[in-house]
Amino acid sequence: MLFILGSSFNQRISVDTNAKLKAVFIYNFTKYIEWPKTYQEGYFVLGVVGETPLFSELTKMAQTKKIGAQSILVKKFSEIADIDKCHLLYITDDKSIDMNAILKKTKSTSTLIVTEQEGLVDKGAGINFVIRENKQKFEMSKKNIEIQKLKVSSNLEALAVTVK
Amino acid sequence: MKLLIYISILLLSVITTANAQFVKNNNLSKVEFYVQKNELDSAKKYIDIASKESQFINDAKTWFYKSIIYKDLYKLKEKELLISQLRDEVTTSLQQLLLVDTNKTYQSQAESLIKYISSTYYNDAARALTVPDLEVAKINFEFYHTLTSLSSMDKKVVQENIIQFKFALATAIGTIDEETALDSTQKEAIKTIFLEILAIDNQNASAHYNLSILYYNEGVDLANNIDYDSDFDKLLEVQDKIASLFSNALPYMLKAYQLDYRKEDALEGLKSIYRGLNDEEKSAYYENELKSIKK
Repeated sequence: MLFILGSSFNQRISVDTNAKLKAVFIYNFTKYIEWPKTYQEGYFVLGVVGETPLFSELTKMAQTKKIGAQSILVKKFSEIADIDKCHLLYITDDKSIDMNAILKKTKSTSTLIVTEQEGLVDKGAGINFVIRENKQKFEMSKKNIEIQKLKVSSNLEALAVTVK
Repeated sequence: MKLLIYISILLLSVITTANAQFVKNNNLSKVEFYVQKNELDSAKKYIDIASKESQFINDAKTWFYKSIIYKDLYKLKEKELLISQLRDEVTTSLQQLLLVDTNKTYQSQAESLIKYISSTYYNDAARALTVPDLEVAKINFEFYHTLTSLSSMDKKVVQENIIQFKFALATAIGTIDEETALDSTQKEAIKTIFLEILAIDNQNASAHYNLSILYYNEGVDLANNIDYDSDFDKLLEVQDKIASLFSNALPYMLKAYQLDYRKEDALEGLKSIYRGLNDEEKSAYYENELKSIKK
């Protein structure tokens, strides 16, 4: 009888599904937050502090999407001193240790601080990604968001797992 | 096998000749006459009539003759065809023979015929995997399956052949059109095939691995294709589906790893699946395992 050869299927490589989902979450957040007038022209700046696959996902997103009428610019900050005007600043788990310094740096700006470590809404983050039942969810602090002179829709509160 | 069949025909012919003067000029006698003369088309004509006649329909000899006549005609006329009606008729006749041959008069000849015909079906099923219409392969394989289930062929060998064919079929479906991604029907068909393999052999590491990859890739494709404009409802719905697909992938990849199959790939798979499930601790564990064996 003939010998039949069957091959194996290949795994999709170099794909971080969580980063893609987070990018879509972040794009959605911007629809529920209102930035002051002075932030509504020029680029909509998404800043990233720390190494994360989310950076390349946001960069991909910036190539095709706008936020309102604003084109998106994604910036990576290696040093806290380098952080400049951002609409949204994403702080990776590794860099959360620098949370206080980052908050000082962004104190007088209208920057939405987004983090990914349990408990950071209690330490100044506006929105914090958390894992619940193996899925990305988010908690938010209305107070922290409003401190940054941002307005948040009550619809976003309804979607958060916790609101502080 | 040939020798056995010819001896049987010879014996039958001797008996027939010896009794010729007493035998009525019936259709089965005519069949025997033409078989003896190797006039297969005439033999076919009379066996087709005889096999419908009430006096012969339950006679094992009728179906034995019909099997060998059609088998010889198949070899003569349709051996190169992937689909052969002559061969299918051999199968039908063999099934009927086994049904009516309660004394097992033709058992050994039937076994030989089944072995031969089933091997032609299997080979043609394999050959048909290279043509766009895989139904031909599936039909031939079903005939192989049906015939082997009737015989006393080594079950282990048959199972191995079935598994081998199913792997090749899954691969063929997966590569029908290399330019475009698999559609959901094709994905489900391939998954079903791997599940069928596991139903036969639940320790088949390759089936575990491939099934896991299929579930995992489906989840990755969902994530890759999600629109940035998706609202929260859609986003959460897609996230649930992805988590469910990764959860489906996990036990199969764990089993493949446990069975020591493609160790590096299995570790890479476990690292990715756990990461997809947001379990960084376990993902890191398998990542470290992977690094340690790569050293």
